[in-house]
Amino acid sequence: MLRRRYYQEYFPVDLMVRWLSYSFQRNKQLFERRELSFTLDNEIYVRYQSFESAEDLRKNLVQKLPVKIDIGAVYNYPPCSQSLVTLFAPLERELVFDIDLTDYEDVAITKSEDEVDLCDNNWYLIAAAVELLDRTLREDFGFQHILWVYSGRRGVHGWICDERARKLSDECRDSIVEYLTVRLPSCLREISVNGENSSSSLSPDDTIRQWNILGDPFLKRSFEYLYPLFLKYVVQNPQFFSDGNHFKKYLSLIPFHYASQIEQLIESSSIDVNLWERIEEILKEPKKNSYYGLVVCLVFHYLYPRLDANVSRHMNHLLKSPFCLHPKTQRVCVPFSVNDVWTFQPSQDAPQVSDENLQLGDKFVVAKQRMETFIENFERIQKLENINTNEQKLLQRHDFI
Amino acid sequence: MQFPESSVASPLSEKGSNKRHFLGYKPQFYLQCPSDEAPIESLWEIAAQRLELLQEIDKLRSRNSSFQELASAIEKSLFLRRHQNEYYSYEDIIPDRLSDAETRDVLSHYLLRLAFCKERNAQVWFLQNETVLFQWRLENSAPPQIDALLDQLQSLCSEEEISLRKVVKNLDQVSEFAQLYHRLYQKLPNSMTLMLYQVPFEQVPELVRHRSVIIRSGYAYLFPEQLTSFLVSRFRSLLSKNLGVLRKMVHVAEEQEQLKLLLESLRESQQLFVNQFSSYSLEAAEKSGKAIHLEDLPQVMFHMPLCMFRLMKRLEQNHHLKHGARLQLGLFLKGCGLSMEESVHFWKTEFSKGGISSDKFDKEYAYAIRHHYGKEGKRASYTPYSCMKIIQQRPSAHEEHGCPFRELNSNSLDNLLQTYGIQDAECRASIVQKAQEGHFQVACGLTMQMKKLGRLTVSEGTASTEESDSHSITTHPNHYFFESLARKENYSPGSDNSPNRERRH
Repeated sequence: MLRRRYYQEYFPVDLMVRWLSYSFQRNKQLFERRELSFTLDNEIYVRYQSFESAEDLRKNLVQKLPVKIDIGAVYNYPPCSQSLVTLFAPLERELVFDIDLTDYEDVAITKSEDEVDLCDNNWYLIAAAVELLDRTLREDFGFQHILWVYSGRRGVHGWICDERARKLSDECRDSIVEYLTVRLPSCLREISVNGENSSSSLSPDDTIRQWNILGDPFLKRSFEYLYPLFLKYVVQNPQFFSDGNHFKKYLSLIPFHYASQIEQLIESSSIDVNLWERIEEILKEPKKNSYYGLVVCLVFHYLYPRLDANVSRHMNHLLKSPFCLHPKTQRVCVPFSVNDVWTFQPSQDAPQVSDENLQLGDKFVVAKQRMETFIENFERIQKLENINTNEQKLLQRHDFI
Repeated sequence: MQFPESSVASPLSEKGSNKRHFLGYKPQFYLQCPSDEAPIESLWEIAAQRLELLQEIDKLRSRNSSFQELASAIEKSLFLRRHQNEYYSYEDIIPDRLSDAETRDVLSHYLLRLAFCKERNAQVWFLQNETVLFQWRLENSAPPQIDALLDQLQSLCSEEEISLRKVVKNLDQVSEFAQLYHRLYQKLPNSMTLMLYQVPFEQVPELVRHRSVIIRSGYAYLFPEQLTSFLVSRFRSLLSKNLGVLRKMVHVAEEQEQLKLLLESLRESQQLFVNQFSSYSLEAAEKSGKAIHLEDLPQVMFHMPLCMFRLMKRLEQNHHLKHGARLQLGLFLKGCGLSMEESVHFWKTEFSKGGISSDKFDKEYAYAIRHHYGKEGKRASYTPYSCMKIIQQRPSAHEEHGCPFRELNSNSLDNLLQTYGIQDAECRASIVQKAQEGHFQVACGLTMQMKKLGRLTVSEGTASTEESDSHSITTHPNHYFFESLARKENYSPGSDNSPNRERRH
């Protein structure tokens, strides 16, 4: 059986255990108290599994052959004994994010029946989201150890592994999610909610113009980052202006005054980059030179990360493990580096287990190597920090007032 | 009553510091458990005064008063109390060592903390109202007092964590700060150099959530204006943590008989206070002579709030109710005064009409009813559900408990209101609209008014607008019921089931 061979020969149990035990902190219990949950055949969920060691985990994987493995929180007792203790509570857990193309259906330009192809063709949406999130989490929140994993089908998961991130309370997790959430004016939100336009969602000029980003430094930075990507990946896509599902759908939601002018323009001119420039002139009027309103909304609408927020809000939420096989596609959930996010291609880079092919090949080795590099970096930086901490502490105390 | 402006305006001003009431003392985190000795009578006195103030705060909060309203109410009440104390020469009978405000403030805080750490609801109650008191004191504090608070906080933070430091930014270099400042306060900062407070972002989740703070490398940079919200949230989380810790040790304090008595008395008066406002116990109902009995039910049905009326109707039709509905209605009836025997009889009779034999009833349902009355299981006497509790329940599609204003679609709600006796379509429409907007309790309050007046505009009615306004939000079904009964005289029945005007009992 393929799954058995995968768990016996391929699944990097040692790497996973090394990652989850964060062993340089000399806290061996981290892995023993970590909840793993298995989904067995016929959708049988087995929660609150925990294992003593890598061998223990390997043995169980081969024995139970889970279709899916999820990772939960670290608890105050080993989860396998949770029925025996009275106070069973999660203590820590990586901060996790989940981005899925399902939430991008209204802006995904290239359609495909095949989920992985779909993901390939619209990967720029994911890539923009990943890079923006990664930058924000590093620059704003100061996190350093971020593991990005392709989910095996049409999305990605981000695991923020810094100790500080793992210890965040649910309240803080929620506040971070809110910090990262951009709520566009309702007329634009209508598109994503209903998937169709309606005349009632027309919004008066003012609502959009008031929605300015100048007073919100975070949004301003995000816009400055996303705007070039918007020009590069969206405006240059031939379907953007011609296909009725895209720009035209957007037009139907903005004030008629702008929409009709722009529609005329599109009808009368050839579709090239200059077209966008002329459209933008119209959209920016009457407030030229400031990225007010419509342009900003459009860019955010396309490229701003759409998070599955509930995944991130609670410490004890489960998330599919890296190197798990996606139950539907049988592709390996491979980690990738944020530096390679623009060249990553799900159909190429995520090896697939199939009847004909049990050799997962070089790509799998590369993925394992990435995981190892991630863990090594983590351990190296942590060790460095431990050495420096005392010194830094002394320095910083002098700045107190 | 008039208050001299000058005394009310700044109860915390440095000048009058030895003259102000101890509850209006400077804000602090109460980090040190007091070790002072004090005569037990003084402890009773100061604890009672603090509890009273917290209760006043709680009352105002439950009316959704603004912070300004809260502040002026606290000021007035402290001013009054101050004068009372002087009048009764209270200052003289308190021995010297308790004469300074700080000691009294700390002691009274710790006494209430001891009294309320034991039980979850009391903890939350204490935490919320103490936080308001802290915030009020903070708003009235001079900068040096705030600095002292920051020092206090600083002394708290462990070696590893640098909790808060002051940094100075030049706005020329970092325009973001000026932009954000402008967004938050609709003006530009006064000078080009801005003093900011740097804290780990984890300590200001509220500011992070609304992006009203700049975060860099894990630190949030607070404007001086934001310090209050930071300190308030620190106060809340410290107190919350300490209440949890104290809970495990409170038995030590209770080994002293006199102290135990005091703490129990505080708990009791708190319980009375809470009951008075949020739930109606059987005893209370009986004492006030309002308790109803089995034979009254058909007549008083139309005085029940819509959520209970709906269940009564359903029971009449189906001779059966599901578990959630039995619980909601059963406890309500208990709160109205139905005895356990009456309850068992009531349900048994109704269910038998639906073909459930007496035997089956005794086996499957009677236990639960006795349980509600605290005669079975853990023998806790259950209190009737408040509106909050009922609204929070989300029954599944085939169940009928919960708040009808929330659960029903506009058509079904309209029909139900008609059955309930609201004949005027316009009236019903305005109620339905309130419910659609999510103001379930307002819709319920409106229903009572319309039922009573039978028309839309309150001002035309016999009741004064002021009175109607104060009752326009329903908070507890049993409260609604007794109030509706009390207003019976003005009630114009909209259906054949007009209730009997003679009240029994």
